[in-house]
Amino acid sequence: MNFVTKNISWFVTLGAVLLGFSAALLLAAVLGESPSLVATVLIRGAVGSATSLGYSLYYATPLIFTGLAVSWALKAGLFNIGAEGQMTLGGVAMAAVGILASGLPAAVAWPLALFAGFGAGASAGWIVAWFKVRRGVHEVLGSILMNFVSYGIAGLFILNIFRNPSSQNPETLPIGPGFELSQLSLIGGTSPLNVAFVFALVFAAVADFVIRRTRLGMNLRWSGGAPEFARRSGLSIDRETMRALAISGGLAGLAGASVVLGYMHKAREGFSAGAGFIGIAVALLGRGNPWGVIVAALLFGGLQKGSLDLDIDTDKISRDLAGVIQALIVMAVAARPVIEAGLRTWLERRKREAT
Amino acid sequence: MRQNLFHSLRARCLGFAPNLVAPILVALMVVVTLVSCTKKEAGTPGSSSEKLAGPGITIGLVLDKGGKDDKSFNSAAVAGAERAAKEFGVVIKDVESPDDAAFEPAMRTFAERGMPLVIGIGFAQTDPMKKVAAQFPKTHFAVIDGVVEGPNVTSFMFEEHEGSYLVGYLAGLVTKTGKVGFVGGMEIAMIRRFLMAYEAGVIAANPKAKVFSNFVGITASAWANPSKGKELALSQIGQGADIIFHAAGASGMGVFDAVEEKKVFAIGVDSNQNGIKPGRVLTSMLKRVDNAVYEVIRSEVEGRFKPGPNSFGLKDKGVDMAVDANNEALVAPHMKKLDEVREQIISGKIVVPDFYKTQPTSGTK
Repeated sequence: MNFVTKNISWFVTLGAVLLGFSAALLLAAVLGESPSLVATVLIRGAVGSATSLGYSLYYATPLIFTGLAVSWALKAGLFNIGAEGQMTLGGVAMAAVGILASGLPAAVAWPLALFAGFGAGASAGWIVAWFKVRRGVHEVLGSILMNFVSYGIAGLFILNIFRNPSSQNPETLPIGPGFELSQLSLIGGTSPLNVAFVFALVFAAVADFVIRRTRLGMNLRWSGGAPEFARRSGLSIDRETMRALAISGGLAGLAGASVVLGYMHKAREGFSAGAGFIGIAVALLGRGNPWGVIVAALLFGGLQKGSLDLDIDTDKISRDLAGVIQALIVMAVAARPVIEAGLRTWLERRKREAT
Repeated sequence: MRQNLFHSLRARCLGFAPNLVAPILVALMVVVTLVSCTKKEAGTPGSSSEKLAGPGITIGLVLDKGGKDDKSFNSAAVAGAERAAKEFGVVIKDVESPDDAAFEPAMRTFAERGMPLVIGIGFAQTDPMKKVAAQFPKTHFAVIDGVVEGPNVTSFMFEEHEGSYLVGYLAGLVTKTGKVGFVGGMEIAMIRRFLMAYEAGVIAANPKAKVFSNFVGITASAWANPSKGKELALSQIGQGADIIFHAAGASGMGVFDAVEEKKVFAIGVDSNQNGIKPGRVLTSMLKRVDNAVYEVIRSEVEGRFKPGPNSFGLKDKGVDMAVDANNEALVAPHMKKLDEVREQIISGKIVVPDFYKTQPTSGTK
């Protein structure tokens, strides 16, 4: 009983996920498609073979980074919805160093590329923070507008400066071989799953440690959880805001690694494919906890892969059902505090009556 | 008191984060995985009816981002596949790709299901097909508008410049203002190829004519931006153009709206678009993607699939000019001259400028 009460938020979140899935399956039934077939196709498509699992993990990789990024800012009470743009800039920066320093060996190239990606994302986050702190522009507004600026800058680099003239696709020249991340074919079969997935897990573990066990993390949590207290204890909220948004942007900047360094080996216009925005849902579902973010990202990555097969294996519904499921889950998660408060009261009353 | 305050703050900041929960959720996912694996044996949907040869085989069609209702390039591919499905009794499974990352898993899924032939529509699929085709040597692959080399891949290219020259020639004959327009989709070598030949055709028919040209954009979204297409068309009409040729995918719908509004003419592309605005579409530069798709399916069914590059031009009606009830009255007076031009292109008497040849590294990829 104590375990249930203590972790009630997680149970309600899990309930929200199940509710989202059930509602979507119900929708499929209304449209005339057998819910069990849809569920089978989704699950089989996501984890049915090593390659499918590999794809699910591959799709989850950028979501872990962007989910971490959004979570990090949320800890400081800030809502970063610029992860999409930060991811784009980060990926372009990785491609840029990969093209300019194409001769480097992997031992130097990988850290350099990750550093460039982090730096580019962090600068975008820092600019948003600067406007918030110095000019009073709300970070939601600042970060969403920064997305457009990021697309523009990324376009300049992809389509003009580093454009591959012998390709009809809007993409850069290929990166040097030292920059290409190794494939994880042991887990992922012939899918594009690569080392970036391991990086993502490592970054999540580090983020969890930093948030819970270090001074940096404590300052971050205090500035978000109890700003007045933090201010009176001598913390500069402005500085914490700057730092939080810059690190958040940096984490989002790393999200492109799996696509740019691990799969395409070049930056193509639109490579982020919405991962920055799905990252917001991942962070909400993961409740701002790095481990929760991993689980949520795996769920959404699996959903993305599983839904590809809906087009092939069902007649009446398409992959857009995945978007519906995502939306329903997010809505159910958003309703969580209400459900949770009610459930907690009920549980406590039962406990009192029992004793 | 102070201690309490600290504790409650700690709790608020830390929030949840009990360490046990994440492992439990991971364990749950593992259970789900196991359950799904057992389900697989119970019955794999979609794969039971697939055959490997002859009539009744299943063929995979991976469409480009425009989607099968673009009334142009992808629609043509679907039409060809459906025609083949009807005639040969094959089953077509098609997938639309929302982004570049979806091509490869779609092709792979088709190949894994044991489909004998997988067709990719559009040059964006060349890179993923190169990879997948190498991993499934027993599956046949076909790519439209790009070249992929491999012992199990056939590639279909179109001589877009020949058809563009022909419709350009018609535009040059028909224009009253002596000014015509061109609205391209994404600014790439292939669309430049359309433009270069179109200009040459116009000038050949009417040496004093002026050609305005604009592109919708430089990214893939340029294929799906009708409002920008309309804006460009209106601006060209404003400068005096009375015929506008579009090679802009779904963005071309805006061009049709503009010519209807301003009572001038448009020239369609890829599919027969004469019926979109009857009477206002002079003709359509057909790119018989449907024939290519139909042919490759036929060769597969008849067991004579042949890898390697193929090219379709005016000669084999791979590119052509659409004439039907909607535009017959408009083009009838010029048909004799146009047939002459067509013959001269085929015989090589007229050499149509080819943008690819001016840019040796462009195209094909």
